[in-house]
Amino acid sequence: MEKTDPREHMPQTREHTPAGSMDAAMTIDTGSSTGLGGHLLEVHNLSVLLGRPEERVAALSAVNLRLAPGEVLGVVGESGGGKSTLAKAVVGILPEGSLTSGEVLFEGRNVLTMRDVDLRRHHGGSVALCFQNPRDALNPTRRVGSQLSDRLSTHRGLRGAAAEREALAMLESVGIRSPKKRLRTYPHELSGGMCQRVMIGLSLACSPKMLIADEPTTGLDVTLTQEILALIRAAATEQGRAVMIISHDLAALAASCDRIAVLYAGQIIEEGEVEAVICRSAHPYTRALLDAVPDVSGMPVRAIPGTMPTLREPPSNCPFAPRCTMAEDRCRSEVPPDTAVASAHRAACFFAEEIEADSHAAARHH
Amino acid sequence: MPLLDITNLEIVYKSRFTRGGHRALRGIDLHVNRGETVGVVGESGSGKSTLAKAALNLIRPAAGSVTFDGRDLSKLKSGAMRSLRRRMQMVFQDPIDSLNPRRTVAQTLADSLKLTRVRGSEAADRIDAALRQMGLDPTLRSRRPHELSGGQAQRVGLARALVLDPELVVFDEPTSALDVSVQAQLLELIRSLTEDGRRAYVYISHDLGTVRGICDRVAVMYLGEILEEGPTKELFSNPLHPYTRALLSSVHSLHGACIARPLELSRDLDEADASTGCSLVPRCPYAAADCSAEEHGLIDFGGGHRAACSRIPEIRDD
Repeated sequence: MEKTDPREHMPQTREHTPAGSMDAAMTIDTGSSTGLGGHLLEVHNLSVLLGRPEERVAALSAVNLRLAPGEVLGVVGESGGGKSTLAKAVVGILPEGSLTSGEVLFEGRNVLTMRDVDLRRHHGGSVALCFQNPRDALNPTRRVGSQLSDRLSTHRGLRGAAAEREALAMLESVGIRSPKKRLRTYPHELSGGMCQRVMIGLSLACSPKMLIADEPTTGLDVTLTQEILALIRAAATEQGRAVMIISHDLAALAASCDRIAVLYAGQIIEEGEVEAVICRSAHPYTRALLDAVPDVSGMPVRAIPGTMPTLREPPSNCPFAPRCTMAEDRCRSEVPPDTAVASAHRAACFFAEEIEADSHAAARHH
Repeated sequence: MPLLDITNLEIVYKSRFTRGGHRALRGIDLHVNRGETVGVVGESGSGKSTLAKAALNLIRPAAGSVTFDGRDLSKLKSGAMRSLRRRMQMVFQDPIDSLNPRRTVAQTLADSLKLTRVRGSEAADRIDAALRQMGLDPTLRSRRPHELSGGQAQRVGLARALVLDPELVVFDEPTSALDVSVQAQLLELIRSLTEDGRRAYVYISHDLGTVRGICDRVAVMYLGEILEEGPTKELFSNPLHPYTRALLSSVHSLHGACIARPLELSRDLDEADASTGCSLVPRCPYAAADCSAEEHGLIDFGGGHRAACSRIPEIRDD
């Protein structure tokens, strides 16, 4: 256990209470709402400490991220890397007792300091979270139709026949056949793929400006994975929503996103356009992750030795250094800076530029 | 003679909804030699896990036979079957749930060894050796499943199967519940096991990438039937059956573009259990009138590559 108060490492921390009430000391900097430059979501220097005071976990450290309408961002990384915490921070449902610093600006307003009434509006119309494991996320004791109408009446004020019409249209739009029949079924009567469709339908029911899909294809078959991702992709390209897909399936992300952010131990260690991150990776972890994915092309799998650390406080060095083949002394003592290796492609590594050049050469050789 | 020989196997599950029961497997032919790893791929509900259980005689076949080392398993008395058990083992999908939560790692492995005459300090040595071989520290021996990580638990699952030094090991999705980097570590371990060439392995998975990396031969299943079978490299580079092509073209490779010529199947959500002919007919873009009329088994296309589609010569270059 640590003897120091973890708050010492995080200036300007806020403590989240179950009611989400505002820390009196905090003021919302409304000035930052201007000059968004077309971005719906801007995450500035976000750090999150989770858990009880005696057992803190630094779930996110100094995360910076932007997302524009119509754009699909993939967030990839191992379990415990902070993917789900990032989603929760954006939606504004961080668990009780979390300490945060930095800003999560949604249309210029900081989600972390929102009042309850604003948060409720934020949840319905602004951001929708499509939960991991849909069968568990749906209410098992209620019919699919009533769960859909509930949402429509809460957030859009639709009642009775109007709500049912809208619910029908919703199920149809996510590719469910004989939707009328499905409205009357319970979640356990649906297959995994169908549950996932209902979940996506639910999330899109109130036309949110942003959709977050947390591991939407885990446990689904290859052909279904394709269809679900196409559905999520359509939310961005056809309906102009900002979309964040959280997954550990790099191949699936590569096929459906515009940009990819790689999370490791709560930090974004690389971010850029899909092609750049996959073909010209600039961080050793991204390269190691790519080598660890069993690929249909027959490339042999290469495992990353060791395990990801659970950080108790924001790191003072590179968290990947103990597993990295390139690590030097400075990697173990300094935080590597975010290095821009190309426009809109950055990596937090001292060797980012060399690695990027090398990956590029290797990819061409391939 | 193959170590495991499955011929014309049919498994029927009792069902309240389907008259005569649900036919989970139909006319399955599969053989596995010593030193060989055979992969079985397919979507959920295609019968992969049923095939795994049937191969180990955990379900009674309605027709056909499963022969292990020349002995028909369904004809064995329970005592004889029990003595064969230690020669065939299984590694299950969910690493933590497949271990008894109340027993320590050492007890779990010792339970396996009860099938043999190994006892006492010799048993303890075997257990430590098995743990070490799976890359586990023998000090984990007194832990219970909830005190293990997913990767460690699956290594214990492997150790439990391999402590008996079986001749046949069936893996049922051994890495699907694990994280990418942990999965990679497990896959390296499994690969090194399969390369020693002594045992026969059946590897069941819906992840085509892992199957490509581990198996010598692959069988593709759909609705309880094998639609295509062949050497891994050949099957991945030259898929013959429309279903295999659709399956392969739906996965993306990180090291190159799509690996198969694109083919899309229509998704029939109320798939009818076709009583005659090819079960892919409702979804297949190449389906013709005689596809649903006649019954056709696997057709040999040379080099051990077989597929159950009579139209392959016509559609091959499409």
